[in-house]
Amino acid sequence: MLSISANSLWSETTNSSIQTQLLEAELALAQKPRTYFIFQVRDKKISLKARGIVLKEWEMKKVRYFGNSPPAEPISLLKKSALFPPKRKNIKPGSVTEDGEFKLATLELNDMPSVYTLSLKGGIYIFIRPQSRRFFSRLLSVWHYFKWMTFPPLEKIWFSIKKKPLTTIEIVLKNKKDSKELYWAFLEGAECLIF
Amino acid sequence: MLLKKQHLILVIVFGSVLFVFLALEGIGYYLGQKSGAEWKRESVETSAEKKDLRAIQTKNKILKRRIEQLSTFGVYIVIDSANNMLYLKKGSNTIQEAVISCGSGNILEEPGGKRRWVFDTPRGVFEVKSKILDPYWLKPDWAFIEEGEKVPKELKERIEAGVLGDYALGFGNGYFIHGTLYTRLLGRNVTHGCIRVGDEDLKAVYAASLIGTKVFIF
Repeated sequence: MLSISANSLWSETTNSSIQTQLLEAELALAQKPRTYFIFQVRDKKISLKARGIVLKEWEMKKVRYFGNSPPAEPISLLKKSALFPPKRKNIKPGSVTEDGEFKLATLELNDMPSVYTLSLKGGIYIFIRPQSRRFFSRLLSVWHYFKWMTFPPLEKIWFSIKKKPLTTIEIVLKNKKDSKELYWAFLEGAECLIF
Repeated sequence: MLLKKQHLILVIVFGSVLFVFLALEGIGYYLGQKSGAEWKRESVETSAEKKDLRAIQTKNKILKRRIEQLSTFGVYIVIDSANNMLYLKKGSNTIQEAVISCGSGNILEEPGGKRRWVFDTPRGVFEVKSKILDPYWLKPDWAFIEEGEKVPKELKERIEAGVLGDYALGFGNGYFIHGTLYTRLLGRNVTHGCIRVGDEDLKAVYAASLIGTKVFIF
């Protein structure tokens, strides 16, 4: 009985300690004039925040993680990679029509990829994709599952040899729109917390 | 006999490759599981041993309050540049929402390659720095270059009235939340970085905003 209560006290202390580290990290982020992300892996939620206010939230339909637990400190996004990354269009001087109207060749939400990888500082890789709904996307999700089961363990060996941490997280979002919105909002250099 | 031998070699080679692959997968999987568990124990034990539960909980309450205090301001503006939406908010309540136009993300290069502009709406935390009634547009160099015209030397040649609507809210670096003549393009990313709002919505946003009102753009 005594050991059970000691254990639960230890567990409460450790949870509170983790919370302290995360709150300290969030306070540091909220003090900057920038937006930041919070990936709540256990609660299956991604929040975009600024000054402690939630600006937007995305629900994770599925999440899998492997490797080192991410540190309880602000982590910056180094790179976004996709098979077909969006490309900016160049304006040709003099091509604007008389009434100042443009041909609508602009970079919009629909141009964003829905399947991509976020490479974060400290060997953290987050793979984002929308939930499979149609036959081909379901078929593709089998490939994603195979990739998830195969590559991270091999990468882990390579990273262990190099004595570097590796964290791989796979997040399945509700739909393509959510996935594209996250790509749009998460700019390279932006910071996040993962727990 | 030769065929059987070749088959046997193939089976041995394939079996060996499969064995090495599975062994590596197993090692990798073990390393992944092990490192995941180690991190939690290390970081938690060192901090938990030093302090007692009550002290940690008190500290957490203080930290939460400090984060909450950062967001204690009145009305604020949220711009969702992906969906071209503006939200006028107070606390968690939305007072007004409007369809807007944000930056096109296009690139303009000056012929000769001297200067380059990227027409993005800036992202981050800003505040209203100026409130202007009946604003006029002081056309920047890129507006002339884009139209294939010569950049004028006289200031008066840059002034254009009536294109920014009835109100403008400046949030720094020459960016404004203003009105538009092209209301049918609201909801699309077509601007040079400014935020275009329809007349009626802009009137409400202008009335509710003060100098210093926070503007969150994502």
